Amino acid sequence: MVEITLENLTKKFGKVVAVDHINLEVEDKEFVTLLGPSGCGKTTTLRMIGGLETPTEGEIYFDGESVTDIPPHQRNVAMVFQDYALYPHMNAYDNMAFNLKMKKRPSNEIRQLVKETAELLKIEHLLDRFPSEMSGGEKQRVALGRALVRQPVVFLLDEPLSSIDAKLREEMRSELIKIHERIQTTFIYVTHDQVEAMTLSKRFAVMNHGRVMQFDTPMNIYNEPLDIFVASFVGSPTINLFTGKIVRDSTGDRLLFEGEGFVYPIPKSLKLSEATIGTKITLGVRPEDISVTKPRKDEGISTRIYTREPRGDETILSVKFKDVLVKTKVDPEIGFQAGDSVTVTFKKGYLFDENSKLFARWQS
Amino acid sequence: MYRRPPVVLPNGPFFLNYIFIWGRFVSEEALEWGYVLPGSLPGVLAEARGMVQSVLNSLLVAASTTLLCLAVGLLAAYSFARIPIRGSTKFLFYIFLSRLLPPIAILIPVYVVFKTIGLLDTLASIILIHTCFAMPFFVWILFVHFKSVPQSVEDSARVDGCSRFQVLTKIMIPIAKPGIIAASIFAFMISYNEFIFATTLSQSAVSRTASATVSALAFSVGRYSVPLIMAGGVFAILPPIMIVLIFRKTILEGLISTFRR
Repeated sequence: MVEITLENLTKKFGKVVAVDHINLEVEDKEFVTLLGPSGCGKTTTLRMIGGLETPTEGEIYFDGESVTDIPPHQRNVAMVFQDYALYPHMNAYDNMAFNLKMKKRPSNEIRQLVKETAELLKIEHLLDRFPSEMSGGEKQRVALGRALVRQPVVFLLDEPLSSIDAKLREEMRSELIKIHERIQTTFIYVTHDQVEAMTLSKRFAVMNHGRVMQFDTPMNIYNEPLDIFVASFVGSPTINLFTGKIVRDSTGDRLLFEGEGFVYPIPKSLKLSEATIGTKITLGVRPEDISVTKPRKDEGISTRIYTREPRGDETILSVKFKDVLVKTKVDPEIGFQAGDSVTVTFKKGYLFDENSKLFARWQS
Repeated sequence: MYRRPPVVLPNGPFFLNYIFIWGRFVSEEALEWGYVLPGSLPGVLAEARGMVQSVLNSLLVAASTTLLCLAVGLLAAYSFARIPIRGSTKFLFYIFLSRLLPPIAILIPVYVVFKTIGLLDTLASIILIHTCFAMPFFVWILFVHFKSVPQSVEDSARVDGCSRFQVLTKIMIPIAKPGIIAASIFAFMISYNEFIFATTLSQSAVSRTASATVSALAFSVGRYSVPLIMAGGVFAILPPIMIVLIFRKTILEGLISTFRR
């Protein structure tokens, strides 16, 4: 139940800059995710919010008050770790009660709180067990319970679902959403899994090289990625990227994207400044924005199906533009087989400039 | 003993030696039985009477060594495992390296040092030197144990409301308990068994440890008292055997977990 502000937050480990001047505002009761590849500084950021790392530079505010120099045990934050980090020498009950005991709460109150939390997470039957006697999913529940029981001002979750199996992960995902709705506390969640970021959070930050590349709602990040990194990190399969340049066609009234081995007309509705013509740019097209049809004469790129990967609810067709493999996501019932001639058109496209920043996009 | 041709089995067990070792009832019978050369009886008596005292000394020295190791080594091992200090890994290696030095090589310098500071012929000198010997093992065993506890467990404890010292006392020490017990027993054994320094640094019977006394028996008696020395040896190893029997399970647990990780 706290608003968190990060101001120019920087962490250096020797010469390595792990977190590079991050500014972030997390609203009260918001569920915010930090998404990024490993080594992008997301965990370090989380650890700084928790007080486990001291920032090299910058400030952290909880509700406008600086907590930068306050040690972790005085911040009242709860943290859930990827490897659960349960105390191996204590059973589940003592693990959950540990913080309350440290705070010297009366023992009947502790018992009551632990019991309530255990009921909420359906782990009453585990309370007598030691961590070595529990499965991964059970440990994760206890770890979550240990964080919940203490009623912290903010929850910090460091890839809590990445070490449990896929089915359980989905279950826990919905459960996390429920828990967040129920306890109404600020959540900061770290993950490298874009699906988790998309589904769980109200807003998420995509991080790379210690910087926040974009911080917005999931739909905005998906629809309007600010740069190539964000575009390629969000979405599965990843966005297709073609390097090339914009040229005029022979008549001079139409703009074309000239990539390696193909030319694609840019919709007339998209107005581009003269300066962009001829410069090196990147065209990004998401697999789901590509339509594959029978060979046509009028528009599109003629090619052949390279591979077909049915996934049940969708089918991934790969085609090749010269040497570049292009993934498309199509209807599972589509009739094409590997080797068939097809025409490919782009329903949406993103244009990134030389510095990989988005400067235009179209939707037809 | 000394029979030609040698016999494999003795005539039978003979418990009088143990009674001698207690320093009691040693009298003319000893001479009669041929254990003591004529004329050396008073010396033997003095040494034998010192046996009980010296086993107590040994226990005191070994226990103090272990406590010192616990007091210093625990904190050292934790620091090596968790607090990043420039050069600490190298230092840890040098600590271990000190064990490669043959103890005899530093015997005389150590003797001179203790003589200079006036600690010669005191239990304190033996305790100090034994702590020096036991510490590297102690630190290494515990270092491995502390290192094997995931960092996140410690982080979690810190978020859960522990200060750094509480993390050590409430989380790390309980988790590493088998290792701590194993390391302590090692330290105890190293000290209890140590002979060269214990003999050199102690001069009077007051500061002698068991191993030194057993050897003193040998020097004082002559070749016919080998059974007496053996009896002394058996008597001296009783306390450690008892300790090992009591802590057998913990020692095994600690050792296995040290090498499994």
